[in-house]
Amino acid sequence: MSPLLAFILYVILAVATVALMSILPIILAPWKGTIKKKVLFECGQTPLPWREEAFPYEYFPYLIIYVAYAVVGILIFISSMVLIETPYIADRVLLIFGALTVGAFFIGLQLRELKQKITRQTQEDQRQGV
Amino acid sequence: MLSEIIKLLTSEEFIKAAVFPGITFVMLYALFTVWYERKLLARVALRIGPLHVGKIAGVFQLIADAVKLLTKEVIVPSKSYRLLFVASPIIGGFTPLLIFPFIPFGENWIIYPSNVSLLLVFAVVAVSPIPFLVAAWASRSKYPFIGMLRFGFQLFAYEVPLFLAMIPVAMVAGSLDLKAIVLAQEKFPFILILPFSFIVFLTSSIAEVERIPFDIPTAEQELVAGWTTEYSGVLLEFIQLGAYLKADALAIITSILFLGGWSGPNIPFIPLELQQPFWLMLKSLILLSFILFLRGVYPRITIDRLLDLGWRMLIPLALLNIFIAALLVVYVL
Repeated sequence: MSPLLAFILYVILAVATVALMSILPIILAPWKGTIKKKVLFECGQTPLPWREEAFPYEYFPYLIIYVAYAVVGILIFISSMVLIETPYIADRVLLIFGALTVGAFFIGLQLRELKQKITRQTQEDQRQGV
Repeated sequence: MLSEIIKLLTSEEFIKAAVFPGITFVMLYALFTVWYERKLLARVALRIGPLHVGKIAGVFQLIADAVKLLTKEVIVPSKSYRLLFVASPIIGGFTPLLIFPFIPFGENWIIYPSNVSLLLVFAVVAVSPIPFLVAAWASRSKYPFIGMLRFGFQLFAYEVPLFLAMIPVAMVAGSLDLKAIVLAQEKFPFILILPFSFIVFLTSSIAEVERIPFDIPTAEQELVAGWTTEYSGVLLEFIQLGAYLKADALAIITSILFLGGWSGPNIPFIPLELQQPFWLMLKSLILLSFILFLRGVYPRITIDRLLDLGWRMLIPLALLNIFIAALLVVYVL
């Protein structure tokens, strides 16, 4: 029994299934693309003309937090593996985990105060002192 | 030559790869999940659900739907990035298929046993949304764009807790092998000693597969169909396939990590080889029912609450459980 052979066979069959599903519409489906069909979706209305503009969006600070937590997550993972392999350093690892837990709860409480929106100030915002 | 082919087709490797727990089982299970969801939600809403196609409970409705999508014209918007628009959903439908070879359905029912199968599963789960993000970007349309941003925020908020919720299980079991994790639960399932991890893992899984109440990226009432708006035909079918495969896989993995996997009461006269997949599938089906049931009874939560739940509650809870698990490993187990 070779697991690698089974895995290779599985991947080949998966690729074949996906390929078959991709090819079938080429054979079976109609191809009558018109300009009207290819316009972007606009809820049944005539699409707006193409334009580019600034798009303010909230919650960008979370992206920065994600990077921080992703690194912390990897460190925790490595520490937990170390804990399994070398139990005699358990006290130090426990201390790290405890500090991180307290820190995470503290950050959790503080996140509500975080400014969520990063956007350009309009003249009206400046007048209102936002 | 012919005898070699026959030998390969009747080999254990081929049966596992092609039949169970291989591609046939995986695809049929994904189809079953769609049918099951429609039936379940119909019952919740006091309807009957699929009925007419197929003699018993409309079982062939899904095959009819699949054929319909396969024979529909593939429309690629003229403004889109054509290659990415077509390729991304195909890759996105294929990627979750790679989770299943590492999942053990019984002591011997596994395609590719590995000492780090938990990590391999997480790696594929973590990578699987990226083609869909690219697909949304390639649409170059406003509804998919807003849906993509929401999708990104949701992923960022729930991928970290999903990963953190796995760590206590690996610590208590002392292994990253899913098979060893099931064997470590012979006395008691990990849900009893790691309840927070279970809650965090299940909640993050539901968010990861965009199920209600976490379906903000595809919110129908706000964004038409969110990041999938421009897709139709077989490309939409790939997107749906990817989503259902991932939901199935995560339900099975949750059963393995927290509910004792394939262990269950012995059924007389039935070989253990058959009992093990039965118990695992039964447990994962109960979890899947819960995940699908939420769609029938809960409204969608807003994005601020979603991010709050992920960053302010699930991550601290996951870290607390890692600390508790470390204490258990050092002083109790």
